[in-house]
Amino acid sequence: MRYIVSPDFILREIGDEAVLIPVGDVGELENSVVSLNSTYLFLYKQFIIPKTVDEVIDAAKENYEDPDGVMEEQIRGAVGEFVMQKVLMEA
Amino acid sequence: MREFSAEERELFEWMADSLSFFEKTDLIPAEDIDIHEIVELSYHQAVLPIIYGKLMAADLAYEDKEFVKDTYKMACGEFYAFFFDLRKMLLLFKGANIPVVVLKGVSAARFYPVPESRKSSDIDLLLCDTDDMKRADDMLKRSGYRLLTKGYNIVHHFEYATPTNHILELHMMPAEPFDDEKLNRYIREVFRLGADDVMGISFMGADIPVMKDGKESFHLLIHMLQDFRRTGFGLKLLCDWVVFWNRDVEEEEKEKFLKLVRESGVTKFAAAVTGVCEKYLGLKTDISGKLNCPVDDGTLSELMADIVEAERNGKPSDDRMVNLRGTGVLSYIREFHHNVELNFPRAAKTVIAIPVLYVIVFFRFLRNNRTVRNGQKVSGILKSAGKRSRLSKKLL
Repeated sequence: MRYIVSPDFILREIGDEAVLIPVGDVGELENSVVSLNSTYLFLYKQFIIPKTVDEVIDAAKENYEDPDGVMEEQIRGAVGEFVMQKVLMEA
Repeated sequence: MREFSAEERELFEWMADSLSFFEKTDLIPAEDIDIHEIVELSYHQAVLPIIYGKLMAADLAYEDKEFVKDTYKMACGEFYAFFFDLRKMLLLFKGANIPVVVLKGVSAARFYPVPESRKSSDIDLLLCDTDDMKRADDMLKRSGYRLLTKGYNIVHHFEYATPTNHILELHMMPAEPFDDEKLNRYIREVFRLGADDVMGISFMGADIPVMKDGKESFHLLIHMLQDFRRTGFGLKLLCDWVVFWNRDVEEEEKEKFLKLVRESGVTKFAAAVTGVCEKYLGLKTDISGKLNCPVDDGTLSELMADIVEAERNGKPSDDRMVNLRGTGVLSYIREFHHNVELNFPRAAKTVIAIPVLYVIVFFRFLRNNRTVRNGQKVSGILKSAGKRSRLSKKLL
């Protein structure tokens, strides 16, 4: 299944910070700013074009080291969070 | 001519660069520059977020770096908090069919390279038709907004606390009345807005009603003029002017602005503000030439000094007072009477009440002087008023 970033959020990179601003119908996040650390920002940007989670995991492996072998599990968890918060949607 | 310190000059240069969409990234401060002083200056002038990138690239002490980061984060957080409130507010007004436009805030911030870097302290909306005031007041109260102001500002705006405890200023006039009824009448007429004066812009996914460029720029100017006539304004308002004119403005809107400036009699002030922004803050515009009102370097320097001093400590310094229209005794009396009219708009129309009102306002002045200006001597305040009035005479 491919996912893509939801148009109900816009990404703002200001200074060292990256935040998502809700601009559409996003439920309880309506008046919140979602702060993204560097890892979450990397993942978010992967989904600017439709991608599967496996494709994103492959891209992450090219950019990050995974000495403990937890990257894949963490990425799947993060994508799950994004989908639950409606930051990502099915493409 | 006022000599600016090395730190002040560096601040101006950083601001000019940060306000431009073509930012140079290799501005390296000279070795003898006190960066901490620039942090302090920019903070008090409410422009620290604007030069955030420059500060973070400089060799800051640890405490200064943390202070800069915290201040910047807070500014961005506040920006979004106000923005979310504004969005909800505009839906309320739209639902009630009450046309408004946004003054300052997002309306000014949209032109900045980083809109979040423009600090706001409240939300300002202008009613397009002042006859809607009662309906707007009823609607806001039903929606959980609390009316805060009584008396003084009813000639100008009502102040409400939003359900999230921000301040909404709902304006019937775009600025506090001047002690110049002819100008006030003109402003009231100009800002009775029709459909031709307003446009909707899309900003971060929200539809924001704003004035078209001609009146938008005139409002920015009037706002600066109003603040200049009181205790002055700081660098932040100059930033609004820079980003507004450092872009392509349609010729038709430029002509509208020029007509408003000429008809209201504020050409010299417009030329001076524009000149200051060109000289110190990197503004590049043809508007100066079109204003056709040269201002000498000495006056520009004096005005810039007044602007820097206005917010040197984050607030008007203790000896600053309103800017009088003239330098004689009559000027002081005229300003005093203007304050009586602002404080008691209805009672001041009754001639018999005026002596009593004068006494009340005089005692309020003494009380406010003690609490706001740390008991600065009245003579010191009056002397400062005279000095600023000489500048005012050159510009108005």
